[in-house]
Amino acid sequence: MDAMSSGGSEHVGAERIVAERIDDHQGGDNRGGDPGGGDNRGGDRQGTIERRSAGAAMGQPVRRWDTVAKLRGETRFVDDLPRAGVLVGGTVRSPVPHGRLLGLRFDPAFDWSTVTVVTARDIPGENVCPIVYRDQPVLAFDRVRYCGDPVALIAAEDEETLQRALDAVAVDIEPLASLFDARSAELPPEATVVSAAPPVYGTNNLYRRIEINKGNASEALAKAAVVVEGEYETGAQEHLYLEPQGMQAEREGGGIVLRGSMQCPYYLVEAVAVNLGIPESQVRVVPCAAGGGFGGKEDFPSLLAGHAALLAWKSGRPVRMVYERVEDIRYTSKRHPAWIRHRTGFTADGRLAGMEVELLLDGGAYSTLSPLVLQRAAVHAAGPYACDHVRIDARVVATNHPPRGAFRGFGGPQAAFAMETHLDRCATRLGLDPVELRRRNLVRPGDTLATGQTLGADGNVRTVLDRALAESRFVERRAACAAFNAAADTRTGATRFHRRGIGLSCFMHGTGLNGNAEGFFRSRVFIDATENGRFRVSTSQIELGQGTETIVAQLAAEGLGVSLDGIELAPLDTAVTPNSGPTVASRTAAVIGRLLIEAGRRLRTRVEQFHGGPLADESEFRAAAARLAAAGATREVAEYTPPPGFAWDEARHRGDAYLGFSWGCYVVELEVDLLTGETRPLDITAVQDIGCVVNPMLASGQVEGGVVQALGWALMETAVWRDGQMVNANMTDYVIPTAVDVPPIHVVFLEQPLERLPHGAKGLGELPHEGPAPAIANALRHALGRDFNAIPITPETILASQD
Amino acid sequence: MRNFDYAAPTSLAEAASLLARAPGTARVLAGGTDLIVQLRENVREADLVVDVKRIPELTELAYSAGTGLHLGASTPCYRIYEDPAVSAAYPALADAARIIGGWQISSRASVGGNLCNSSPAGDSLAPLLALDARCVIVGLDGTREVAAADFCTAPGRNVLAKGELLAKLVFPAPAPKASSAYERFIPRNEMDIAVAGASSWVQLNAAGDTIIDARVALSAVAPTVRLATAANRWLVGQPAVEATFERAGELARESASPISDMRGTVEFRRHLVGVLVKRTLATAVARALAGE
Amino acid sequence: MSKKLHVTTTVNGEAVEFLCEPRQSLLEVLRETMRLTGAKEGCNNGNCGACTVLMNGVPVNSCIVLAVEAEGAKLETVEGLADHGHLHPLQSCFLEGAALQCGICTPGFLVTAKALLDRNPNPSEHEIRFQLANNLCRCTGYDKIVRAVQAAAAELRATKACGAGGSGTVGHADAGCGGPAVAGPAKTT
Repeated sequence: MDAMSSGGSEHVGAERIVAERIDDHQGGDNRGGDPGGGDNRGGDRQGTIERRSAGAAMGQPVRRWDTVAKLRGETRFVDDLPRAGVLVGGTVRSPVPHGRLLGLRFDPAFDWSTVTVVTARDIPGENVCPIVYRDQPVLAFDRVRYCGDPVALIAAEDEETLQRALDAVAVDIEPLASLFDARSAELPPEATVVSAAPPVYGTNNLYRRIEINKGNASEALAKAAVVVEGEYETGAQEHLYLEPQGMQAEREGGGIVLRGSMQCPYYLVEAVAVNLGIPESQVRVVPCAAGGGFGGKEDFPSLLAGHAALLAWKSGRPVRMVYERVEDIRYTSKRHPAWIRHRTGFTADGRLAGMEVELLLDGGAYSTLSPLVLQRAAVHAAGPYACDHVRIDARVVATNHPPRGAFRGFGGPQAAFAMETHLDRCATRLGLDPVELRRRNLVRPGDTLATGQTLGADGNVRTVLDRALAESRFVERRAACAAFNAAADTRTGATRFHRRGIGLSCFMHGTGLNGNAEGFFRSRVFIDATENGRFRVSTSQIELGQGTETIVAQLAAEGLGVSLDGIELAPLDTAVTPNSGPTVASRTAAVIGRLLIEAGRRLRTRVEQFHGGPLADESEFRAAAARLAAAGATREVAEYTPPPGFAWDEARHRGDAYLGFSWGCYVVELEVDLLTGETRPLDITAVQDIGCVVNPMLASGQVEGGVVQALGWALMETAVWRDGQMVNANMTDYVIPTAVDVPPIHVVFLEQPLERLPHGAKGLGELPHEGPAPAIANALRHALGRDFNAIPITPETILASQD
Repeated sequence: MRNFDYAAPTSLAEAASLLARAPGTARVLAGGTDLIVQLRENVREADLVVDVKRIPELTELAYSAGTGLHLGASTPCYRIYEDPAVSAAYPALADAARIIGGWQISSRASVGGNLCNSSPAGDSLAPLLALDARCVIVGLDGTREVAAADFCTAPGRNVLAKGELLAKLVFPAPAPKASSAYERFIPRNEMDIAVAGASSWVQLNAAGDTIIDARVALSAVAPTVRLATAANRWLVGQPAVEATFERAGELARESASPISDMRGTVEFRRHLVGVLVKRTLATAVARALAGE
Repeated sequence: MSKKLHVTTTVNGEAVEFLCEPRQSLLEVLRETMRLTGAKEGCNNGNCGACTVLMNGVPVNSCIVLAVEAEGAKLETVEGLADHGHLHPLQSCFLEGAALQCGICTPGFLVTAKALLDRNPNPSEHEIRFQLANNLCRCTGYDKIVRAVQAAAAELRATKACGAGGSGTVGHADAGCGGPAVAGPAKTT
């Protein structure tokens, strides 16, 4: 599988088998040897894959590992921890979006001896939340930069006392002019102080600028036969994980322990050690079950952990901080709003000659993860297309909005919306079918992307496009939509005002962390043999609902060559758990999967060496492992190092931006009501190549959930901002899709293995958020004959576009 | 949430007495789907909460073709749409009851509570006007009745005086060749607050081709839910055809005086009034012809 | 100012008495007084349905029910769904069909779906989606939840038709929610 040629031939074989399996499904599914496969897993409902592995567990639709306790209501999330003896913590916040903090006044009528108060002066360590740049204080001390910027913390015996105490603090602020428009945020270099207010960040409000250059785009555009320009805009999106942010801190010995909802336990170890001024060895993080994250629990829990820890440190008591929904929506991060401009040149026959992309993100008041979100947005900005001359100029700027942060896709969905909506407009200008335009320009194995990254045998995106066209019966459905619209005037009643359209998008998502970051983290996993004949697996990957525990077990079983029955997962506790890096960036199946397979294979070799020969029989193998465990330590450690040949030049943004890319092609058919502007998706086909499907049941769940989250982003989720504050910060006014809003979603997986990894897996979690929005915009364009260059596309915007 | 006293009287007289004698602000608790949220968010306050659901008259649902419908003010909405006879006799009411929140809300929320909350966007209010319901109000001094159209006076305000409570809603017996409908517009398919809503009641002649009486009411497009008076006058005597519904929609737009907010602009709401009036008239006429 | 009130109610078939302040929600008392933490607080204003419990057989958002209103009521929570350790067919079909991810919305979906199937043993897909519209899920996209409810409905109908009691796995595969799932091992904690 290491050689490109063999990988390529394997892929062809896998393709054929996928098609055959779909035929099987129509005649009755007998996967897993269970004839009762039944209606909830028929071919049209469940993702179909061909498992490449010879292992026992990988590729099987095994049950979720965490399910039974969740179904019984027994799983303990942070808010379910016992409350006895635990103080409740709350936050005093800035009432204005920008200002100089003059001081805090504590109402003498309140008995302050009954509560614990922490201000910036009480921070024993550094007053900084360490994410990337270290510009965000844990508590503001001289300036406040967004409405809700924390300025003090209070812990009380009960909610009522806490509320009275919070109400008894007045925050004195000299307001400064606020900056809300990202498009005018960046100040010219060497700016002589013309602005009434100091910059929100640095000297010019620019968090980061990334330029990616391949060939000579401006020259290519000047020579191009056709040049198409366009501007695209996407809005902020709220994660709306169903479990709000929550953290509990408690002193323990000379250190502190944190329990809560998070994606990255080791981020908290660093943050709290920095804030308290203690060694990282004195900070222990024991995550609770987490009720969804979607990126929203990547960076923010570091800040919240700092807050809870400071209160626990000063009070000497356990302190819990669980946000109510309004506080969570108002003051935690959102998806970055984006403004993206394309200038694209084509040859006369519709081949890409040159691409220029300018991309701007509103990063909000502190940088948090913005520098990295920008990087992913920039790398994805030119899409999965082959073009020799590309220039991408991407910036993320500071404003006085609450900090923007990680959200499923991490800048990729914004880039994909612009690229794919733009391409349909280009097709019209070129007089080409949008499908044909893509087919002519999609990358192939051996092509390079914008950063110069050369694609391996898995880089065949046409396969994904072709499959999506076939699965969705695209050409036939497109004709049917046109016929439906042409016959509108012959109908009576409401459907006379209905129009239909179908659209598609091709997109990609880089696997794992960008560039050298995976190498920087040097993720580690452990597998131990136990005396009871099982294998105990330790990682710091978090189960957020996406199925991490289950696939970690499957991947370890794959490496060991045992059934799942032989696997145990060690509870996560940073005191003993190795740092396998954050649970982000669609990295678990691919990056951690590689480590689990490596550790498993090595442990098998050790057991067999101990035994004195190969052990094909599982029970004999496990018995030998138990004997080895009884004889002494059996820990196998696998640590990440970049695969041979992987090279990324961070300074120039050249080379291998990611380990590899997953590819997708989504098709959306929809109906619009011309009278009310309502859009009703009728059918969604989601075809993706993720290299290796570890668990098809969980994988299709990722796609279905991601598609619906993106559908909300595209059609209804509108964050309304007034003076830098989100005014619809509750679940009455910020609406997300319900069960009634969702059409049938047909999920298909292809497996073109990534040669750099032993199991070939590429990332999945974020990919599904990239495809739906542009496919919807393109379908609306097909239905109504007008461009939709900004999302969300609400009924009102559709009606306004008709005027 | 600030604390309060709680009482659960079992008779109307006891309830009226509690409400009249409460030292501070007394609030009636029916389904609580608005009140409890408002108390928690300090939008409204209460020193005493009077739970009226243990008063038998307040949870009645009594219907006969001869006498019409007597709907206790705290009868939960699900009992309306789960009752086939009531749903058939007052389809606009059932349309609204079915979409006041999701199931968990309609398990608790009542039409009386919806009316007393007096939001212009309350889904059941327009049907009350279209169906010509009357409100039976009980106080220490006895009982009085007001037309549903006269009940709300401003957003969140109504004609109830201190010590009074809404006991029930009385709907006239269904007329022959008549039916009704309610529709609202929301940006998703379920579970949202109306951007605009319309309810239409029509009565046709024996031949079924001409409108002989009509009441169209609008919600979420004025400070209170209101009748589309000009449209209603004009509709009498018009043929029951699409052009009539369309024209009535245009006339009804003139009765709307909406505001712009995060759910929609003035222009969008006014536009929706035309669409929804036309649609509900068409549905009501179709139902009348089908004998619903 | 307000005294604590004494409330007598039935929770999952057992008589329960508790003291509460008038302002306390039913959700708060279930979670903190009774330590039944299955129902979750997702929004605290009746929109998300994560706190759903059944009150006299109908689903309510327990965050917008006062605990005192439970006087004399029959309450059912997710903790009462399984029968002496045997998963309810809804639970087993959610398990087999991966109809849950993070698990916060799951207890609410299960009890709402139970109320639905108690009333309507053979709901259409649209009825299922409509009746579950007050239960928001941000993870699954709903499809697997709807399939699991359909499968459970089929299993319950089959069980009833056979006259068999209990809720075990008998008839499970026949009813279509068996599927190719491979048993997962226990987690050590």
